[in-house]
Amino acid sequence: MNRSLVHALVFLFLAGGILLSGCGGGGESTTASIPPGVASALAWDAPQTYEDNTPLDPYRDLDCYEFYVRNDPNFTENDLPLAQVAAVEDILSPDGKTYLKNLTSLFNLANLTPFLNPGARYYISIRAVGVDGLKSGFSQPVSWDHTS
Amino acid sequence: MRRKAISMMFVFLLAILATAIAAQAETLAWNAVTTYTDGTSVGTATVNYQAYWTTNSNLTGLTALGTSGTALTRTFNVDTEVMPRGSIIYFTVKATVNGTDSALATALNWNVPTKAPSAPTNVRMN
Repeated sequence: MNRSLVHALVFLFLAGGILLSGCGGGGESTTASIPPGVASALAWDAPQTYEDNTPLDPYRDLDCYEFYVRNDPNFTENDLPLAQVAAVEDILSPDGKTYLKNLTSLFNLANLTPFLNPGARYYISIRAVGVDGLKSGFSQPVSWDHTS
Repeated sequence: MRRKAISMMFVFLLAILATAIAAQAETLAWNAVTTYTDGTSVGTATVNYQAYWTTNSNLTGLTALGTSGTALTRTFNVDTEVMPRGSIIYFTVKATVNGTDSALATALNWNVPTKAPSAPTNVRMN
């Protein structure tokens, strides 16, 4: 009984940590962070504008996202992406007869683990790439304590 | 009485007027028509201009850029005009005096500027 209570408290503590980090980088910090060993995916919102603030249709105007990983949050134009995913994916419709366009907004962090050292803290940033090949700036980095 | 053809001696200028807000405006400009093809002066006759753009270097498939008028500039927005970013397009202008059209001005080619998307937002761990 007591053991179940402890598990429940640990779960609430970790869930609270995720929610706080997901609320998006308020306060003085320039990066969001989460407790080690919890995160399994990186999520983001697709850009809705170009850098000059004109509207962007992510379904039509985006080609892919690039993922950058460093040991510090100081990303530069010289950094190379560690992974890339299409900005729009085809998913099967509920009736299974057609494909629907779906915005990619989730990346499984397990895809990065073969390239990273367990036990180290990493920073991840995303760039959106337009259909003409031009890249956005780096998103706000998030820190990730990679455990395994 | 035979009408004189209009001599189009255009010198094009393209200026980018970057606005501090939202959309970027571009301006196509040209020199005024002052003479007919025989060299005589247009004088005080009203000269109307119509600007066009096309993706074809031979100036076919023209799309009007705004409406005809006496101004020597035409301001436009690349996205509103649905110009293909990253591609070369061609501008030309036609003058009309007393119902007589000039030939099209020599084409001005322009590489429609590209622009980068904003960065993804609300990046978070799930």
